[in-house]
Amino acid sequence: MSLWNRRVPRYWPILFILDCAGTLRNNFHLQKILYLAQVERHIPIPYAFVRETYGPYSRAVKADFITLANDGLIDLRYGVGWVFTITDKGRKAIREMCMTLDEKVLKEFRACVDEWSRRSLHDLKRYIYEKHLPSKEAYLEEKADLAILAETLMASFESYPISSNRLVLVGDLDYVIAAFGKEKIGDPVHGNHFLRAAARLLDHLDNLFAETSTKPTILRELSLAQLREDFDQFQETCQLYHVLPPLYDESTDLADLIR
Amino acid sequence: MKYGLGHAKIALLLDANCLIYYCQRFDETFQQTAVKLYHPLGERVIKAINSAIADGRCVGSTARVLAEIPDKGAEELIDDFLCNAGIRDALERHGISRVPPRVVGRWQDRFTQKFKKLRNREWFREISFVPSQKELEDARTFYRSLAGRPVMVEHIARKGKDCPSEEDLGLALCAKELQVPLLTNDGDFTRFVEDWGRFGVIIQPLT
Repeated sequence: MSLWNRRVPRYWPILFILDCAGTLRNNFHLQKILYLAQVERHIPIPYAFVRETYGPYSRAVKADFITLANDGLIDLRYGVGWVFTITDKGRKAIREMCMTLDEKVLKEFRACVDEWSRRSLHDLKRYIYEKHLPSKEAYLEEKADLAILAETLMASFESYPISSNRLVLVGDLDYVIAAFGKEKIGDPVHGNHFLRAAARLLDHLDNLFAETSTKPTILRELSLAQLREDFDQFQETCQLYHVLPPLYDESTDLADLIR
Repeated sequence: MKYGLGHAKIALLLDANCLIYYCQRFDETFQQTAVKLYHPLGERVIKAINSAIADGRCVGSTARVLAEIPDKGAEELIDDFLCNAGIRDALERHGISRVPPRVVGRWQDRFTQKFKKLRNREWFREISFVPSQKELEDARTFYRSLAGRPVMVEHIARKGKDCPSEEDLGLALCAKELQVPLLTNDGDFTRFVEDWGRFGVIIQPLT
């Protein structure tokens, strides 16, 4: 029998994990067990994970555990991170679903949950970061691609008519390029954090360029509030890993920005 | 906050350049040494403002002039501030021969913040004044009546246009309406102070 049964709701793996573990603390824990079950044990987990700052992440998981809580299938509390506990109603529901699913696959899934739900968050993090972060080569390749994107965008925005927004955007891109030049983060987790912040910012800038390239004069009319948030976050990341001090901090010494 | 003319206790109007010079003051440190990068005319604007607000009155400008300040400030930063001999000297003393775009962006950002702060000062007023088409046309007719004088011929040859912009004329007409001086360094006004006075606009040249 095929495990993936269309009559089974998407959230079944969340209920299954909580049925095995009883209570689970932290969204990170839940997300990573689902991910490891999918990629290492080949359990057909119906969530798409993207590479985020803290490793693989699926927004749909969060949406589903909120729905489960609203439907009374799990108890959800927020302490130091989310605390998930299955309710009697949830336990009954998942056991009924399991009757339609492949027992071999469920056994494998249970073994995965047993292995990772008992390990500390610290162990899980270390394992995920070591095994599931991009290699050094992939990291350098992505960094080079992003640097090229930043330079291309900077040249494009420099051709726009002068406006307050243009000066600030070109300044942001110049800061990103300088940060790529100075970045020597050895730790792969920190490096990934840095790269994700840069990628998010550049993605925004790329979209902005696509929206304004046919009529560059509209740039001056736009509010760049969301972009400023992304740029501030990137600057905070640069400061955290001693790459470059932030432009927004008035006490930043000019020498540190120019050298 | 926006004010109509009826609410104004205004002592002085400021043109766009004055507002820009006021906001183009950047305090930096370079290798832990303080570096003051102030527009050379900024201090004179501050002096004029302080004198105008000394007795509890206010200074202000029209909403139309204020709306253009961020972008005009950006142009001024590139075309004037960064080319200014005093600013260049101050930078070169610290070995900075070229200001990278990230620092230009930092200054523009700071300029915008200073401008926002200025607009919220209790002694600053944003005036909702829109002149009628007839008033604008009268001002243009007056200005064109000065044509033919050597000073105007030279002025037009240098500036390349025969009339101040609509926003500058609107500001001058607001000053006329309020009967308060207009602080400006725009040659359209400062080269014809007496003539503008006869038209009813008091010009206070920023020199």
